[in-house]
Amino acid sequence: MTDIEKILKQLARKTMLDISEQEMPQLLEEYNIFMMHVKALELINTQDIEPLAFPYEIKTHFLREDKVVHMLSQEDVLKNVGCVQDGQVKVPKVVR
Amino acid sequence: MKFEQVIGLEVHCELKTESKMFSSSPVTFGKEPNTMVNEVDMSMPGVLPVLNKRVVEYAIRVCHALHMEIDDVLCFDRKNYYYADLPKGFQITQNKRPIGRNGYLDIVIDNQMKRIRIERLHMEEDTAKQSHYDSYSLIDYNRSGIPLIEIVTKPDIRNGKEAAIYLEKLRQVFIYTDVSDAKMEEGSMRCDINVSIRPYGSQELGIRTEIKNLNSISHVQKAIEFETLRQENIILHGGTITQETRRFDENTQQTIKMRSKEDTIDYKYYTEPNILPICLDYQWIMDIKKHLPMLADEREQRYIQNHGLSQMDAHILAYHKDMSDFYDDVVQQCTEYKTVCHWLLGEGQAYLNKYNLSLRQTKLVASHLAEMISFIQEGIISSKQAKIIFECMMSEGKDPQTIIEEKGIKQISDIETLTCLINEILDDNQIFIDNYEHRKDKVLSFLMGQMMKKTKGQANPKIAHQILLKLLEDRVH
Repeated sequence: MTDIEKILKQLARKTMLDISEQEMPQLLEEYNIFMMHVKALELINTQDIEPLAFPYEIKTHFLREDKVVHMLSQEDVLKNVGCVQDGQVKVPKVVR
Repeated sequence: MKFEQVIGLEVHCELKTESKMFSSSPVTFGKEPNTMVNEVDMSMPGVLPVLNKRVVEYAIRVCHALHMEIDDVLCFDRKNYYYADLPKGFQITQNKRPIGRNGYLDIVIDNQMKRIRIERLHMEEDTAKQSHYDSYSLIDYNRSGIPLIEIVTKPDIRNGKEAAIYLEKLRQVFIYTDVSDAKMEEGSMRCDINVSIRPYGSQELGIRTEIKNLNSISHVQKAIEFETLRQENIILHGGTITQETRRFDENTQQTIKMRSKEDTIDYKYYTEPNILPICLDYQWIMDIKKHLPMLADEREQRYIQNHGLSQMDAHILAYHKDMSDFYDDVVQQCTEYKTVCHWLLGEGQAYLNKYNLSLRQTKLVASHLAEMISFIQEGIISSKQAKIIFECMMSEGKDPQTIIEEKGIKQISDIETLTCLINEILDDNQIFIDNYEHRKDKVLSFLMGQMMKKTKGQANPKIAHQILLKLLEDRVH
């Protein structure tokens, strides 16, 4: 197992994703492509450049009034949920 | 080797706004699961967060109460983590620029004042509620997006007792500033603890462990005590403390490891791109300070200095905001400060304890208590009768005059009526009059008993006693 494979497996464990052996070659390929993009980004000289979070340097004063305006029905909330029990979303237990 | 504990606390408090932090769905507790949410809380595609003004107002109130510097530009960050309790995959919080910095809260411990420095106060959204079962978990998103403030102290706390006093005081701040009901048992106030130990005299900080999500002040105290002993044991046996996250197990009263430093999640914080920096009006910030309600300490001092209450009574009264508010209402109409306090902390508290109620859940009306006290002062009712009336006022919400009439418990203070009644009793009990010279106390006590029996306890005891004495002396001599 390469170091990268080890890192990917560790990440999979932390993010609670179940990566099978069959999926690993494809994941490795995608990882390498991704890292090439990262390397390309690293070539850009960012010295003395402040991080920019917004395209325009504007500020706002707007704050929403504290009013209840809109909510969904339970039926709509749970429409896309794979598994429902007692009106709640059922998921595999991930805490010890 | 003797060790010193070094403790810092992080407290989360849910704000009691009408709507959520970034969405217009309602803030509720204990409602049918997944009915109090909308698209924003469920992170459906295309939704955008819009900050609730009242959340900011409440955060500023607490900042003022904790003497903090307030940042007049609001900036938010994303805390990224992959977990089912936040469907977005990140929480919107304030990492780089908390709204409040550098404050303090003074606590009194063993009659000594101690200042606990507060590093920061920031706003963030709450996550969904999870219930864990043997092989699965259930998620209710109603709590998702409820506004929270998090308050982080400097490592100034030295033991569990100090931590408990700090938390009580902070809870009082939330209640007095009217931003939260701060019920630890319902999760609207939660606490994380950072604990480390170091040899006495050392200035260096030891390696700390973090204990997550404590939901009662007594658990906080117990968790600190257990964790300190655990760390001492490791060090005294030649081991080293590892930085880790633990939880407190209520059944075993022990802290249990959840994850080590290697497993610490890298949240990869970055600026929340969907919320532009928001500039706050300086005048608005100052207006919130100007209208800040009087806090518990100030009330306590006012009760001692202006109302002549004892330190103990003033402290207990100010400790319970609803009791203190009620007292303030009563003394607007009745300046018998000590008597009002006595009724509330004595009979009132006993009634609340007996029925496990808060004052707000009773039907007691301030003007009724004021009226009842004036009836006692005027001798219309006795203290004993007042107890019956008081209980009735609490349970039925009726005014004392109505209760007196309905129950026929008015005190008889009229001298003529009392004289007539006592004479009747004396006529029927000649044998006691004959014994009066030898056994004065016993005879008096018996005849007073007869008097109370005859009037069903309505005779004014003070006046009846005086008349009885006089009539007895007249008859004997």
